[in-house]
Amino acid sequence: MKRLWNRKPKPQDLTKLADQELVELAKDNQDAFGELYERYITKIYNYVYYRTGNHQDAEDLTALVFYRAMAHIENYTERGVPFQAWLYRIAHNLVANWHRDRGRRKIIPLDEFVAHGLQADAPDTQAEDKEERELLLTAIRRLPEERQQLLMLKFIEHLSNAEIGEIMDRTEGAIKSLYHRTLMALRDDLLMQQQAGHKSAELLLRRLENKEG
Amino acid sequence: MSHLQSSDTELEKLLAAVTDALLADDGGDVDAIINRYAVPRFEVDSLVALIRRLHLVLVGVQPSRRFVRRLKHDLTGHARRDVISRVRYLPPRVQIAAGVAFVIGFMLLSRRRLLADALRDKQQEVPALQ
Repeated sequence: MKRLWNRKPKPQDLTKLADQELVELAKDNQDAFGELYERYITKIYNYVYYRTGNHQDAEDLTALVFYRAMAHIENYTERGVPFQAWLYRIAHNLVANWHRDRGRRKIIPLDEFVAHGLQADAPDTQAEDKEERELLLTAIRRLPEERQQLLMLKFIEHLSNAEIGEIMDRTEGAIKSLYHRTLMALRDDLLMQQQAGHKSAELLLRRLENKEG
Repeated sequence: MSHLQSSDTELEKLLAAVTDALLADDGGDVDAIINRYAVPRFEVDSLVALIRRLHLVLVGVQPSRRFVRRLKHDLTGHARRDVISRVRYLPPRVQIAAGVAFVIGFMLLSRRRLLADALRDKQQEVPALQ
């Protein structure tokens, strides 16, 4: 009966706690780490997936991110870097190492899975759209790492400039400025592709000029 | 002509505001947002269209459920919860009610069985006496 009353905290209680409280609990409570895991697994997976380009490596690296986080959570103290930012920094470092180890910044086509999220168009426009999409993704992958990271955090994770600043260790103003330069660089890259005779680039730029979106 | 010369800061603010609006699925107000800033349209239009395109192309993906479940199990060492551990996480009142219901149910079943046995014994005894 004593055991009945002195039970462990309920999982639903953990869902109401803030990240920082969970981090403190997670230092000696696996359930608390499990709750943090549930909160961030999809975000981290998305981030890694877009940076690696395939599900297999995304799964391996995502697992490494959480293993590393669990191993070092005892030493983690907030000090201006929220848990979310800390986790993304681990992911960023592991992805950077992955690229370095493989010696590849080469362009990797993303799995077909991404295509399912796009709006369905008429059949005759689907092929054009697919080419444009691949062109844009390829152009993104040619950007410097920090700019790719910014686009992923903004468009995939829907983070605010302040949150992105915490992850990338920059001010909100610096992130706005970097975002502006990133868009300009992306547009310039597409222009270069057009000049190189890439048909999809020409089509995409025409759409951008016509504001077709 | 000064109104045509946009500062980079104004353009940065505009792009950030437009992106926030689009990501919040509030795309209808984009023109109103653009009009709030002193930036010529020709500087903005292609960049806003590029933002729209990025919004369409960069969509979220879901990790497989199997991967998520397996990794959580590996990290926290929790096997799938059995009935006893599920009951342990229920509120105390529910646990007590479940316990009482279990005991009463057991007693009712036992009583019914005992009565049935007693009745059968009684029926078997009658022909022996005749």
